[in-house]
Amino acid sequence: MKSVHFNFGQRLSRRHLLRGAGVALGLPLLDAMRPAFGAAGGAANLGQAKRFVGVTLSLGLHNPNLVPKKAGRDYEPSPYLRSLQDIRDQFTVISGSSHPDVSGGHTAEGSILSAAPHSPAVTRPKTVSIDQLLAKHLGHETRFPSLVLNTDGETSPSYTENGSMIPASSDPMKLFTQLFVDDKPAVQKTQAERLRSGRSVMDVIAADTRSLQRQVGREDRDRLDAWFTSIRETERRLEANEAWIHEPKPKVASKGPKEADRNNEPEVMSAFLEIMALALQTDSTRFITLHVTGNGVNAIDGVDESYHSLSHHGRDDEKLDQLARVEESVVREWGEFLRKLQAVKDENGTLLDDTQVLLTSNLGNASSHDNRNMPVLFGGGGYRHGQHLAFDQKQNYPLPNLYLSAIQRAGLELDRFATSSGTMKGLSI
Amino acid sequence: MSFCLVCLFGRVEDLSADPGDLRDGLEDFLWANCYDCHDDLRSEAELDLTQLDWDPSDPDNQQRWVRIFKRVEAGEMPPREAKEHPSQESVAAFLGDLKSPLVAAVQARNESEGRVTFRRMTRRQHERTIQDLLGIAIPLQGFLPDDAEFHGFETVSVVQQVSHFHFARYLEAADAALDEAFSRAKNGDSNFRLEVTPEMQGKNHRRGNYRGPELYKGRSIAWNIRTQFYGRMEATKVKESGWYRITIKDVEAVNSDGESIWGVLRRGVGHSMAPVLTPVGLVEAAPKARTQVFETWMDAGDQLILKVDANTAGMKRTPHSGNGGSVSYKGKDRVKEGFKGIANRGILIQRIYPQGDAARVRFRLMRDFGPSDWEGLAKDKKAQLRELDQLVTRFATLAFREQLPWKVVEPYRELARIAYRGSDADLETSLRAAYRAVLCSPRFLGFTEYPGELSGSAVASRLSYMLWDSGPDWALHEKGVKGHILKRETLLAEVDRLLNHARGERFVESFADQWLDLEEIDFTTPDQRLYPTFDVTVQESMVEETRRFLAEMFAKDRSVSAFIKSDFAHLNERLVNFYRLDDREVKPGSGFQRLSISPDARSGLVTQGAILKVTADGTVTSPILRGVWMNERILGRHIPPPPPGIPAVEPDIRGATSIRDQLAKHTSDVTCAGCHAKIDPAGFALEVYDPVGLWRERYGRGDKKAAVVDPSGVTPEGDTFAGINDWRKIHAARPRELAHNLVNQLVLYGTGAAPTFADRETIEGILDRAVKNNYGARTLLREVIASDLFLTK
Repeated sequence: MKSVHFNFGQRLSRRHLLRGAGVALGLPLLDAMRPAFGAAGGAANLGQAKRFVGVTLSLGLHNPNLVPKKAGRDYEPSPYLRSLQDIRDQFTVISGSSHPDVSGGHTAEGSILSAAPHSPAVTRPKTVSIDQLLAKHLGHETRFPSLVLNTDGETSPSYTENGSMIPASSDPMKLFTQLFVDDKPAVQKTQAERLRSGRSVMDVIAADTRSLQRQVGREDRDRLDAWFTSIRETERRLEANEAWIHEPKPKVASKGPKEADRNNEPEVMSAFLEIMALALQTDSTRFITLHVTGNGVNAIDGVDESYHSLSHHGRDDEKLDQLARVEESVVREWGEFLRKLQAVKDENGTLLDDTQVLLTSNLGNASSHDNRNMPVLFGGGGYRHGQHLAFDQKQNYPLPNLYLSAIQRAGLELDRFATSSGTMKGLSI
Repeated sequence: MSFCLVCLFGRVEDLSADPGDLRDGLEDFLWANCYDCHDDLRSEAELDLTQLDWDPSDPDNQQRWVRIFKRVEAGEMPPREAKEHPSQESVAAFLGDLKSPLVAAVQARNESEGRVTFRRMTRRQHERTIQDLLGIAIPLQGFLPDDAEFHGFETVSVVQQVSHFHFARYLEAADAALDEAFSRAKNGDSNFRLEVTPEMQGKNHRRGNYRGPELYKGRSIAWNIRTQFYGRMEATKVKESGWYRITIKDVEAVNSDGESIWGVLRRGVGHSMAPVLTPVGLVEAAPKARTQVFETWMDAGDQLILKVDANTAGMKRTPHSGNGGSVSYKGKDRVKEGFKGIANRGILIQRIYPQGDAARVRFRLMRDFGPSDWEGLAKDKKAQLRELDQLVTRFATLAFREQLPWKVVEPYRELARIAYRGSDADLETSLRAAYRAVLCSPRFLGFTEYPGELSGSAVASRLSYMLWDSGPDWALHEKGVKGHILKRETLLAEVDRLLNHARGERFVESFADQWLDLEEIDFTTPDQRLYPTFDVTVQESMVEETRRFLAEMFAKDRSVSAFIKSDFAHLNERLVNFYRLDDREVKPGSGFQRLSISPDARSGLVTQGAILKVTADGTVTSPILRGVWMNERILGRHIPPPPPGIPAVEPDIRGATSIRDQLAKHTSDVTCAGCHAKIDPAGFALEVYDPVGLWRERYGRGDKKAAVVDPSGVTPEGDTFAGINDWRKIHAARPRELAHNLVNQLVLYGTGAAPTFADRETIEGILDRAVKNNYGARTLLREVIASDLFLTK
């Protein structure tokens, strides 16, 4: 395990650097330009965990293999949790919880992180996912306000405030390049030019949207308002990107993402998690979602079917056995990610203490497409973990309460998120 | 009471001024029949009628009353199980009181706002529009996020979203498209041509890990080997992304018994880091050699992969014989040993430009303006600026699909002029600056429609997006601008012209993809152990079967009853074998063929494999999911969503219990029974088809211990059926219901919103006019387009 030493709480402003003062050396993995992982303003912000990572599975986790039989602190590890016992005190298992009024099987994917009420016949209301809510209010200090990733496609559980899904990136190499590899000066120049002229494009079409609004009916005018704000927001982001374009990117020891066999989904997931850890460590972003959707698992020992097909196990023993091999690895990789963050330390704590890490899925039972009893593992963030919070499997506890707790812990003062009824019962600092 | 209200109904405001009156009139009926369940105590289905105001100016309130009306009208409410049922007279009176004010309220909203609110292109339409506009063919869909859908349709306004991500991506897509167009205009086209001989097909650049075909007596043979990436031909790798024509010479079956041997031609990187292979097409090798041609996009670095890919019963797998997954043919004679394979005598790969050559792209960008013309004007800045203005105006007019006032386009021209001054009068830089903005403008991306009757341009635009997924060509644009399109004969002539045009294929393709969820065909991978004869060849063929079937329905105006029963089918040899339709004759080696069949046999849309597969989950079928789908997509009966908290049935593939047994408990519950009376019949009847569309009599793996399928049931109208054939007979005899559904689907797809409560008469009119053509699909499509539903916002 790599362990990184760096200055906690010391942030170098650009001006500082330009004056040639305060250059921190001996930070092999960190860009000194970015604030170190700890609270930006020093002690004033202590007690917060300002980073959030949501790992979401499109195919659920087989409940009987995941949920420990006993509730409380002295639970016996379930088969899936056995590999996580060394970091048992770094996460909480939550069972018997789900998002109220969310149904529709696979189609409820959009609600994993937004908890937006959903059913197959109801169109998605305007809503925001937890990561995007945090990114909107707290994401402006980093090069990337948020990262939205998918191991194998573009769907994501990350939604903007008007209910638009943010398409995910799914190419680890591209992601790594975006984060850590500086473009050649000529490319930077073209990009800067395109960003600049992109802003004048946005300017013209924003004005044109306004003039269009004057001509149409009332309802269309309202709809075009969303267009107008989207265009303005794009313009703002182009401007922010322009400011970053000549900033050198953080240098990391890694030469690139590790090669992953696409027929081994947990391995692919792990390649992403590795880059995500680096992104958090270098403060390139503070909010990340990773949606795990790849279907290839037959490179795993003893598995010869596709992931999706296995999730429809229909109680068949052979399928369940293969499914368990896949899911056990998925949980193991998630634990490995916690260990990575835990290994990044300074005098005030670990990067894990500063990062809330969720693992969940819209499917509590993929075989029957049931959206209740969602699988939930929640780690990091400096909570008193090491317990199994067991709620009623029949009358589920509202999971949005966990999200509200996470939001408050990240430093946003909200008293409600989606259908939350309060903060998470049984979870304390 | 209701009469007064009708008189008042000029404006919505007048109505909401006196909300109490109408409610008072309904109160007796509500007390007697509804409040038992829908009051503040029970509020079943989350409906508390005592608290439901009458305020139809509020769209939600309007929808709730419409729903109440429809459920009472359909006899679903009060439920049949209710102790006391209202008399027919009191129901009629209730509906009568409610109907006219509701219609008036809905109409008022439609008039002031339009039935359809502002909508935009789908990403598929975005790609095609830009391709057609610039004469290029590069894929652009990858730039944009997937579109949300409403009952399958991406074209529907209410679910469409925009965000800053969309605009960032629109900008990137515009840049990629303009990069391609200007680069081709400047540099011309590539005439890349590569002959890959059988010798070259077997070349291996990597050490070990051979996965290629066998070179056998001057021919290349691909065998039925299951190793991943088998059939990889590294010599076919292309260096540049683009469209290619692939000609495979003398495709011939090896060791066939007179049948075809099927394979799939794919493209991709072919490495475990990037294992996704995209099907290019099906290769059908017959005993007689023939040449097969494919056209496909290839990304730089892609190669072709050809292998036998058919789980035809009894086909032996060819051993790969190599070490560690490598393939070797040394010391074996697979031909003599009798293995089946696909042989060819060479593959020709040529770069093509499906949307026309570079000269055409150039014309699209700068009309007749050659580089020398521009240089020639170098001394006359004013003349250059004048030309620039005209080029931008022309481009914007086509892109915005209407003739706009000078001042609307002026900011776009101004962008060109600024770039002109900043770039030392460079034509490309100047045009790019303006075109880029045009391609991101809401006037381009969205459909500008004003309340009331649509303008000629707006109708032309609706029409071309419905039938072509793209903007009008110049001929249609002109008819729109001049208003000729508003004449019924001109409009119908254009419908036919567009459908008969090469782009006309897009209508059936897009409509079927969305209406019938064909896009979801590969969402599930059926379990090979349970469904061993299913394979990619079958899957691809199923989609083609359904598309060709629908294409014939619209081309030949076939009656909608063909959804249920038809006297024709489009099949290839693989499907005939797969479905085990032994009585149907198909010629091997000739792809899809139209067959005349008996309607009483397996026929019609609803028994096609693609439909049966997208309505199952790859492992098991659910009569509920299929039932809901059939009701909503084919029969046109809306099924309300399940109330919250209903446990789903957990599938059991071990086969000992039937799904009906598992469901019985659930559906006998009174609160559930109402909807299930509608849902289940179609689902039960179709239980005789397994998740891949094969006929079955038992569940599980079909052994003697497995539960027997029971496809009998009773329709909500009370008709009993013993199985699928009875069920089909019942519904084939109700063409008007099927036609009504198709009309609704076409309106939703083509205009972006469903018909409203106020459009019932218009729809009856459409149906009446289609009676004499037996509710032909083409007739219904034409009548929808010529109706007010299509011609007003």
